[in-house]
Amino acid sequence: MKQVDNQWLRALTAHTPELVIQLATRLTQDWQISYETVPQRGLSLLQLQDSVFHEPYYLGEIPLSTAWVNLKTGNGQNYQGAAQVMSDVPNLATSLAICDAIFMNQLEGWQEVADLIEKGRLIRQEEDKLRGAMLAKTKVDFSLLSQEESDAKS
Amino acid sequence: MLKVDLPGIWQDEVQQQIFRQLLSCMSNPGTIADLSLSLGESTALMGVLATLLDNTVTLHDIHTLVPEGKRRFLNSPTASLSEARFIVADGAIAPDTNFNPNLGTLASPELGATIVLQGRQLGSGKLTLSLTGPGIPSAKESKVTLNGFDDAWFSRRQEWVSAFPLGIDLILVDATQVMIIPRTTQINTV
Repeated sequence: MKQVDNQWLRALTAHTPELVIQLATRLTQDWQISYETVPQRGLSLLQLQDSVFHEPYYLGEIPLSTAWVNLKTGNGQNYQGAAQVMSDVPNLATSLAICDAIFMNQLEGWQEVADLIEKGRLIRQEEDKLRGAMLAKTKVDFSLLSQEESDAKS
Repeated sequence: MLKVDLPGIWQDEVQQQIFRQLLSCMSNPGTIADLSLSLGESTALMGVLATLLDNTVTLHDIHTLVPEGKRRFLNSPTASLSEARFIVADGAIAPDTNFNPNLGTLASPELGATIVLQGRQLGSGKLTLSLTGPGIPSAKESKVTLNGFDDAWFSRRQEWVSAFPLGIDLILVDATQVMIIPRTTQINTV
């Protein structure tokens, strides 16, 4: 089974939306782009499960945009791409869907998309490292608490 | 700037224009509104459906009037005839005896279906409807003529709206125009 890289979207969204939109605009300036469904932009309710009773609850509303596009290239071939992103920046989901079509089908300019993904991956790695360090600092060791309780009883 | 082809009826601003016209038609039964300025190359049927439907509103397209490609754009789930919130039908084909739309319940009469009938022409034709009721000035009855609508639709409608507030609302469309007959309107065929 073909392994699908599901981190490319996270890597691209590490950059400013303007950068991604500019790249998508430049790479497709001679192509015809159309939507396969109506692009959506709005709020969505994020449902999670609580860790105690395992009951579902709504964390809150998140901005969500989706797009599904068809690219008709200069030689008349059609290629499709889609994206769903937690953002309400106009044209961002469309630009990501275009990048998806270009990158996955290795269309003209795909190397530029790949380079942007690689740079985004490095940015995300730095962010993850920073967050990991912050999380480690705030970690509470509850085993010490039970030790203190037993000390107090004795 | 990113340029993506998206016909006007799928854009928010155009849908708001159409919605205002539909609201006006609903308030003034028998009024025919011309949507051609908002439609571009689309039909009034698609303009109305694009404006009123989304992924929370079910649709039953009994005569397959919505092309497959456009159906995906509507993003509206398909439901059976008796459960659908919106039903699209060819006005020239009389409803058969099994055509039983959702009339809502006393607790929720708003669940009654809206039937969108596609005909040839609003405002001319052999079939004449005389309308009275809320939204129509009592001093004059509103007469509308129709072409490409079977009169059986209006006799069946009498049954469907007989237990008000239960019932159905009718939206009649031709290529570019729309007219609405809510369940509160009384119809006499002339």
